[in-house]
Amino acid sequence: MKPAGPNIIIQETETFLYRIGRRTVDFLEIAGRLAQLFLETVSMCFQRPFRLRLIVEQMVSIGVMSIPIALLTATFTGMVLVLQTGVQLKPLGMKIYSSGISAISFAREIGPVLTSVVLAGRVAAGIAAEIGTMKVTEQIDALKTLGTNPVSYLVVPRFIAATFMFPMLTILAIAMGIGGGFIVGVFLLNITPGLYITNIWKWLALNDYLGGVFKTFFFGMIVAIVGCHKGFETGFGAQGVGEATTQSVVMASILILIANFFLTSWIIQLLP
Amino acid sequence: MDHTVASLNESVTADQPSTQSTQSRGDAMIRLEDLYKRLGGKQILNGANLAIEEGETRVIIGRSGEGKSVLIKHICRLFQPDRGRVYIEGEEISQLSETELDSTRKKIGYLFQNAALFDSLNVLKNVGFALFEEKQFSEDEIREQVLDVLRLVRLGDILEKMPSELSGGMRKRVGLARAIIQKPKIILYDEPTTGLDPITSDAINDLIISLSQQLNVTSVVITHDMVSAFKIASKFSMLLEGRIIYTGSPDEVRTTDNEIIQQFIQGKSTGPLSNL
Repeated sequence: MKPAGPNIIIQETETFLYRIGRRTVDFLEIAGRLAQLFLETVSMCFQRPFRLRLIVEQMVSIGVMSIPIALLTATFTGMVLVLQTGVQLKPLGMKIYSSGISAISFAREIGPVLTSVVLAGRVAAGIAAEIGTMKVTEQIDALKTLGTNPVSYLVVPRFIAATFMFPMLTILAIAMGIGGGFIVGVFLLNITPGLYITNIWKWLALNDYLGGVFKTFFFGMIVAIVGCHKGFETGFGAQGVGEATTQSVVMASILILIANFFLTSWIIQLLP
Repeated sequence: MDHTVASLNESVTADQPSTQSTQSRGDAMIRLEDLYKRLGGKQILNGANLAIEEGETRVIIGRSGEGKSVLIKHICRLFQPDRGRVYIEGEEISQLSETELDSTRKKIGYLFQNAALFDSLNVLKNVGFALFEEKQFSEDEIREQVLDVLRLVRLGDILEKMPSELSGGMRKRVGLARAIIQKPKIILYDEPTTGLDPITSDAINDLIISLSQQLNVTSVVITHDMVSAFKIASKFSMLLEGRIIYTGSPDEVRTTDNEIIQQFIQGKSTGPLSNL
């Protein structure tokens, strides 16, 4: 086999560099558009008209309708968490501590992140599909011709609703997760109810709860902005809506996980 | 073929921009000057010029995918031109901000191809959308105004119906009612009769004519339906390769010896357009 000539190596290198450059430009473009939509939305939150009816409608759609999936996920994850922790600590004679350890990890990390990622699947997909369908059927254009700003009419209510409903759902989810763990701790690990609750009380501080819930304000913002962004960027037809929906879930979930790291680093310093 | 298009371009005088370049042009209700627009890597508009006088009903014809919808979307600035200017009542709008555009957009009603009714809102909320947003009238007053425009488009009391409960013809009429509720000076119709049976199409044509007369609006209509086009048009313009290549009255269109125009209006599969 003949060795690759210098021209081929130069061509391959150019292609490789071109791909890196292209990806970087694409990434910066998307980041720029998301930032632009976020800033426009935040500024419009404080401008008339205030659409309370739409905000309440979105709170029901994003928050109330998500209660079953959020609580179901939290309950069973809380149960598994206590079971796994208890099983690992049992040989060390420390299974009674599984309640406190699980409660802290659920309040600080698992509850907020898991709830937000699960909600991202439902909420970001729903928003992207709804706005995407409006885009392909020219309803967004119709809004503009009627003198209504689509960001003000479509994004702001969803943004406000998600920002406030994510923490509400997370509070409930953490409570249910700890409750689910209690059932496993008492009935499967045979820890007495009093000891189980005492351990949680002793280990779990209010800051654990607050720090976890605080992060979900930002997760709610991420989900709403990504869902709306993907909806507005929808391509043609049903295929375009499908792609936008899938991409919104993937992007929102990844951004939640990345944001979680930075927010946690910050919160640990604020609420050690 | 280029020669034919070029010669047609030269033959058109009404829609050519003058050398004057000012911020305000008062000579036409709508004037598009030298518009260029590139979308998805394709040059859609390539120096399009169009001048439409007040009260006129201008029908834009052209093959599918030529950019007719893109052209009229520039009139209400749903698209911003890459190059060129758009004048509405002499005011240049292509560089206005979204907020500044509000007053211009109130002068324009738009009937979308599939009516673009808001799925989640009933007929009352759809037709009265702009009035509900303005918050200048009570709900009862808006209800009355909506009923008035529904009567104008020959629909009864269907205020509580949802868009999904309406037939194609009813959707178009509701879309039209929504477009005219703010009493616009200009109405843009994007294929108003597509997908409708001949009788409903004719009823929509009659509506376009009567609205034009009753409200004295300037209308721009995109259609492939030549029967409708000849019934409603006061003038025709043909878009080809991103430019307006011909403008003329219905009689001029019927009698022109230009092969491109004749092939299009007669719907022949063979001719100069087929080779483009």
